[in-house]
Order: sequence, then C-alpha cells, then structure tokens
Amino acid sequence: MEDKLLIWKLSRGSKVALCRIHEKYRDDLLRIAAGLLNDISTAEDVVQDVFLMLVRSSGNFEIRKNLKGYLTTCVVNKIRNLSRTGKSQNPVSLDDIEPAISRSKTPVQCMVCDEEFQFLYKAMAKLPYEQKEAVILHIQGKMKFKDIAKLQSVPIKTTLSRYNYGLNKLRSLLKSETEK
Amino acid sequence: MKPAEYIKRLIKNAKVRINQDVKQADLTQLVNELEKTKKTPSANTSPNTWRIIIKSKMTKLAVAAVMVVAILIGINMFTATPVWAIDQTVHALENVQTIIISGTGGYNSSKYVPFKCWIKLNDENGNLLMRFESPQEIVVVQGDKVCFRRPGSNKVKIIEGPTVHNLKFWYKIMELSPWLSGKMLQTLKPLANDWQEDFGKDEKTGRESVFVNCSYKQLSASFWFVFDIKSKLIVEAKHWSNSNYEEPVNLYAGSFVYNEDIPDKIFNFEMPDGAKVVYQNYVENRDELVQKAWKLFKDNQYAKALKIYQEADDLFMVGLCYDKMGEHEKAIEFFKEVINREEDFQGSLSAIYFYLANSYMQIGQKEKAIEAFENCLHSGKGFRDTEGFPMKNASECIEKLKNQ
Repeated sequence: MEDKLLIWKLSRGSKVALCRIHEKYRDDLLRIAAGLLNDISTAEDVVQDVFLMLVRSSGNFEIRKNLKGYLTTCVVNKIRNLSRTGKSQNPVSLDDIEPAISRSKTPVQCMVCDEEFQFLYKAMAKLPYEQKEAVILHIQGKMKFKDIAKLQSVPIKTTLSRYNYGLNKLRSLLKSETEK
Repeated sequence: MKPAEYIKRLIKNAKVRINQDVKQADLTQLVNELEKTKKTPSANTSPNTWRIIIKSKMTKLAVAAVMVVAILIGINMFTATPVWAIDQTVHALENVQTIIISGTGGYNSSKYVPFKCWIKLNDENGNLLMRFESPQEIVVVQGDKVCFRRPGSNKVKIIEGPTVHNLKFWYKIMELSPWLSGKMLQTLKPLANDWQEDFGKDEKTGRESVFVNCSYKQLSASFWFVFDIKSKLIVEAKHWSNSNYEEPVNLYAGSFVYNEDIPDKIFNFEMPDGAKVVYQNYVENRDELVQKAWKLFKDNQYAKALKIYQEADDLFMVGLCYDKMGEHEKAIEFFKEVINREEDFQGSLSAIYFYLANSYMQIGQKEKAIEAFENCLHSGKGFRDTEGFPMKNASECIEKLKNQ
C-alpha cells in the first residue's frame, strides 16, 4: 500500500516520495546488481539508470504488483542489455578491487568485508549467468520462482533447475576455495 | 561440501559497502531530474476527458458521486491535520530572511566552545550569505564562494563555483548548520531511521512546542529539534555525530533569532597576515570526468586515467595513478600536496597518509613510511574503525616495518 501511495505522490512531483523510494530500495537493488555484474561501479550506474527511468516515467506509471519486483526486473533487464551490447565485458572482479576507490572523491572503499564473502563473490563469478541470476534473485531479491521464470522466459522447472545447479556449484566451489 | 543452508545464509548476508557520497550524489541527480520532469508537461494528458464527461449522462453521475466522496475525504483530512508538520516549517522558513544562531560546539570532544552563526538567506543578488565563527573555525559563505580558516592559522581555503548550491554541499556543511535550510529539513524526515514527534510545553519559553528526535545510521548522525507551534520555526536544536544520541553533543544551538537586521560587513572574510590561500577549483563537468577516469583506473589504464584526473583537479587520484605506474616519487609529491591543501577534519586525511606511507615503503624509505603510517593512525583515531581500512592495515604495516 505504501508503495502505491509513494508512486502516486511521485507522479505528482513529490521529492519526499522520491527520497523514500530511493532510501527504501536503492541499497537492495545495488546488492543484486553488484552480485550479477561483479562490478560495483557499473552496478551503481545501472541502479541509477533505473531510478532515472522511474522518475522520467513517473507521470504515466502504474504499478500492478509490487514496486520492488518491478525495479528488480528493470535492473535485471538493464544488465542483460549491457551484456548484449558488450558494455559489461571484462568486468573487474571484486578481488581485483584491492582498496577500491570510488568514482566520487571518498578515497577508499573496500567492497567486500571479509574472507568468506570474498570467496562467495569469486565463486559467484564462475557461475553461468542464468544460474547466478536465479540464485541471486531468489535469495537476495526474495523473488518467487514463478516470477523469475517469467523474467527468464522459461518454464518454472527450468528456473528451479538453474537455481539448484547454481547452489550446488557454489557449494563445491566454496569447498575447494576453503581447502586451498 | 558446505550445506546449502550455509550458502543461502552467506548470500543473504553478503553486503556491498555503500558509498554514501555516490548515493547522495545520485539522489541529488534524481531530485534535479524530477524538477525537470515537473517543468515539462506530460504528453499523455488527454485533452478529451471533459468532453467525454459532458457528453455522457452515466459519467456525469459517476463524476458527481466521486466528487462528493472526494469532498468528504477532503473535510476529513482537513480536520485531521496536525498542529505541526515539517512542511509547515519549510513553508515558514520561506518567509525568513535572516537567522542568527548561537550555542556551543563540542566537536565530539568534552571541551565545548561557543559559536555564533549569522545567515542571510537572500542578499540583493539572491545569494546566501553565512558566517560561522567559533574559537576553532571561521567559515564565510558568500553565494558561490566559501572561505574557511582556523583562527591562528594562516592557511585559508577558498572554494568557488555553483556546487555551493547543490544539496550535496549542504550535507557537507551539515556539521556546521544542519537546520538552516528548509530544503534539508524536508529531506531529513523521509531519510530518518526513527523520526519521532512529541508535543508539549517548552520549559524555556513556556510556549506550545513540538520536540523531534531523528537519527541517520548511514550518516552516523542524530538530531533533536524544538519547533515553536505558533511560528513553526526551530527554536532549539542539538546534533550528535552518532546515530544513538550518545554524549557528547557535537553542536547545541540554544538560540535562534529570525529576521533581525544583520550588517553586511559581518559577511566579509578577513584575510590573516601572510595568508596562504588554497583555491579548490571548480570544474564544470567534474563528476563525469571522475567517473570516466575511475573506469579507466579500474581497467588498469593508469596513464589514461591520470590525464583525466589531472583535468578534474583530483590530486589524490593523480598521486594514486603515479603510484600504480611505479612512479612513487611523483605519487609522494601529490599525496603531500593533498595533505598540504586539505585540513584534516574528522579523519579525512588518514587514507591519504596511508597511501603516502605505502609509496615511501615502495622506495625503501622506512622511517618516513613509519611516520606516515603513524600520522594515518593519528588522523583516523576516534573517527575511523580500527578494524577497517586504513587503520588496521597501517597498524600491521608499522609492526612489520619495525620488525624488519
């Protein structure tokens, strides 16, 4: 209900509503985008583009289901477009961003906090994209399998298999990483 | 093999460190875009709506019913309007021309010093004028120009350019005066983690007031405001540099005087004898340049990134590019220039000292490296996480170097 109200207010130019939507969803979307792209800077750009699109279309915008789901779908589509146009090729892997420095003036940004997460992101980078998408959207994005299947334009069983394959692969990859 | 539940939990808890500067800049861009969108009328507005209503009896009846309901809802909303809402304060601030704020600042230490702040919201050129004075700092804002110095120091920093007007700047000077702009107040409410309003009588003035607490975990800040119900204006405020209202108070503003004449000479900036002025250049498309350079930097194209960082006047990144290219002496020059230019405020220089030390280490200047690492720890003490970058790394490097 709050989201519908926020969208209604946004369509009338409410900055307060915009700030609220941004605060409510930006970080979660960034997490999903960063997981799919393995590149925080491009992830920031993608999420910002999605919000810009939301603002520009706010006058004639209607949410049928939930706003988060809609924004997540936009982020995923945007990332797919990026890979189609080849703009996200050769992404910088997270472990390459040694003390990463953000695009703004803040000098130092260490992206992934501890070793476990480093392993996790390394392993995620090795997953086929469709499997990674199913895993991230279901676990981080809290999306239902039927919605992911719709997004991937495949039967729900295919999405479930992708998810299970992805999870199993992560398990074995993490096992081999920790044994090194 | 790790159990699936463990993997799921790990993915669920995986977090990216949010860069608050980028987040704030992005929000500012969105707000500006929204402003633009508002100015452009929607092409989708149907011109035929009223014609349809007038022609159809059914729609006439339906519209009449809707209007009755709307009026009833309107009356209901009107009677339920609270005696105070933040928007009323924002509106009241639109009629304010001058504010004089006085109080004490602790600057996160137990030693409180008095401060006074004079603000003229619109001079004859529509500019904002402000002077903030305490025994620790003097800041004068003259429209697009900000002059800063510490009493007793001849180092003067001047920032010029239209960036002064954007919201990001207001966040930067929030430590000085978080309550002076209606724009900021409007932004504070939706972003707060625990906005709470209590109504009652102000013991100091005996007037009906509203007391507001709000905190911001991501900004590590919390506030307490007293709004006068009648005038809707702020009459007292506190700011903490943590999100839990924990002592010491960073700034306490005990007195607000509105719309009193302030002589223009108050807003003059007195240059100290032998002033060493550092100008921070304003670069028109700086954000774009920095973004472009950062992408090159990440792709290990340091020479290309270096040129753009030079254009953007980002000396720290220029230094870092040189460092990555193996030109450590040049890197040291630039890191030292940044340290020379910037005032160390709340640990802002600690990372620069870290990279300076790192460059010294690369050229085998052990003593200077240890000194810079120690400066890094000194600068970040009390402001930066001792278990995070660069504090933890600096401590480890000192230990390593001393044991060599």
